[in-house]
Amino acid sequence: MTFLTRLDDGSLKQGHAPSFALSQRGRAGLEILGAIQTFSSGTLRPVAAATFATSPQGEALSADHAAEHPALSQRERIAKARTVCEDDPVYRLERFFQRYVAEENFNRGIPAIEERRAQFLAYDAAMENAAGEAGDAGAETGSLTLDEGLEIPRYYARVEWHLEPGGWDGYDLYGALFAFGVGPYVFSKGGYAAVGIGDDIVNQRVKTIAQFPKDSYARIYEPGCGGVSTLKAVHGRFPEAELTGADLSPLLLENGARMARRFGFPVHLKQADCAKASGEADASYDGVITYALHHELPPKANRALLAEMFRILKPGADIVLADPPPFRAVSMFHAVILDWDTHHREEPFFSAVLHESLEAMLAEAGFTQIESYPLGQDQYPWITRARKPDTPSHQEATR
Amino acid sequence: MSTPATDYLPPESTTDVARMVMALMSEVWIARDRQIVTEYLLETKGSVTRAELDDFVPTGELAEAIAAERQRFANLVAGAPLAARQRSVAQILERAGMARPGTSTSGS
Repeated sequence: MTFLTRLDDGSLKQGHAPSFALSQRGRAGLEILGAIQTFSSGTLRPVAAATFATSPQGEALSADHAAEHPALSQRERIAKARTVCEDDPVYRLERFFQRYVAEENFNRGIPAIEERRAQFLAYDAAMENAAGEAGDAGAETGSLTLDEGLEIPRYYARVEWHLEPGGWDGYDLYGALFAFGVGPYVFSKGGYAAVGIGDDIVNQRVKTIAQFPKDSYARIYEPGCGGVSTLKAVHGRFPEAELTGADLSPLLLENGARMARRFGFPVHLKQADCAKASGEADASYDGVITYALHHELPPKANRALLAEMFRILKPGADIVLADPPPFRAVSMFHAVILDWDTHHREEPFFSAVLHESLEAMLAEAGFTQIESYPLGQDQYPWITRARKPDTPSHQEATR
Repeated sequence: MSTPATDYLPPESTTDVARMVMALMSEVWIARDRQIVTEYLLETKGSVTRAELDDFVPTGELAEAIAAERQRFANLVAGAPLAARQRSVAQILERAGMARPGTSTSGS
């Protein structure tokens, strides 16, 4: 899933340049959340990490976490480490601020964008007109295909992801809220969930696309695309590639289609449950990209999704996944931090997926040349990439 | 007959009291930000209307100055419990955005 964190960037098509901004109250109310988050993750968290690392129990658990043959299971270690952390008032305070900011992103953000509804709709219409006027006659255009009869999986329908009231489709101006409020004023500061302090997920997305090993790709697919933030980064690196994205959320797809028109690149967006059936033909894509998707799916759905991606990829095609790091790849303290999101930031499958291995799932699906590694601080984003074998016999041999 | 409890809030309410403090912190900051913007517009334009204040978006040096003041404010308020533990002169000055003359800000 993807958030927009910056809308008025330099790649917007030139034309009329309408502007939109929150009110002083809306802006300042979100900006202070960004400052609280920065203090929480940048100042308090290192203090709590040092307290944990220097305590006898923390030291022992960290040694077991790093051991080749640990005495405790990963789940047992994290549970014990959490208990040690929770004895530290600084850790408790840091976690309280994290939760508070996550709540207030919407408690403050929704009124901030709602009070500007009329201005935003006027801005949006003006931008749409400008995009239409700037469009090249005869240039390839994108498409949006919604499926009203799509069966929404139960794991998805009941979750208010990241404490977002009503879930991804719960409020019609969520796109504007992220683009003009929470994105630039809070998320862009980093220091939440798996995102390191000071890291901006816009830049991380660009680095992720650079992990595709080839110089060019004819057709690239993104399951769980949300809007078009990742596909926009893909277009930046592979401007000739035909892009297709799929998601369960009609609101995110509609926003994505508008943004793609505005940014001036063609993309085909489809509402589909890619863990069941993407609707794409066998061996029809040269690359698959995912960004921050897998921790939002139950492991079973992840396995089904990767099998479906294997089916639609051509022999020799590449798959690049970017997600939070597995628990085994981070420090004992950071494993507690990541595990916390599962219960406190409405991420029901976060820990389940971080206990598992996307590498193993890719191997089960038939992929080869599998490798995984971190790109940024705190091992995030964690890249797992692989290739579909280029001969049928090789495919059989790897199964 | 037992005496009515005068501890009206149970210990579990601590988190909600902290939420109230944080909400108040946000409201104070919003007012402080508005004050900075008001002073800026008065200094640069000589007058200001409510609509101008509502619509004003700081840029450039003003935005940087507000961001620095905002972070200092957040550090002081949200970091008050930390201030009870980290009480060296250097740490106190560092939290205030100052350095002790002639010494490192990281010392104790």
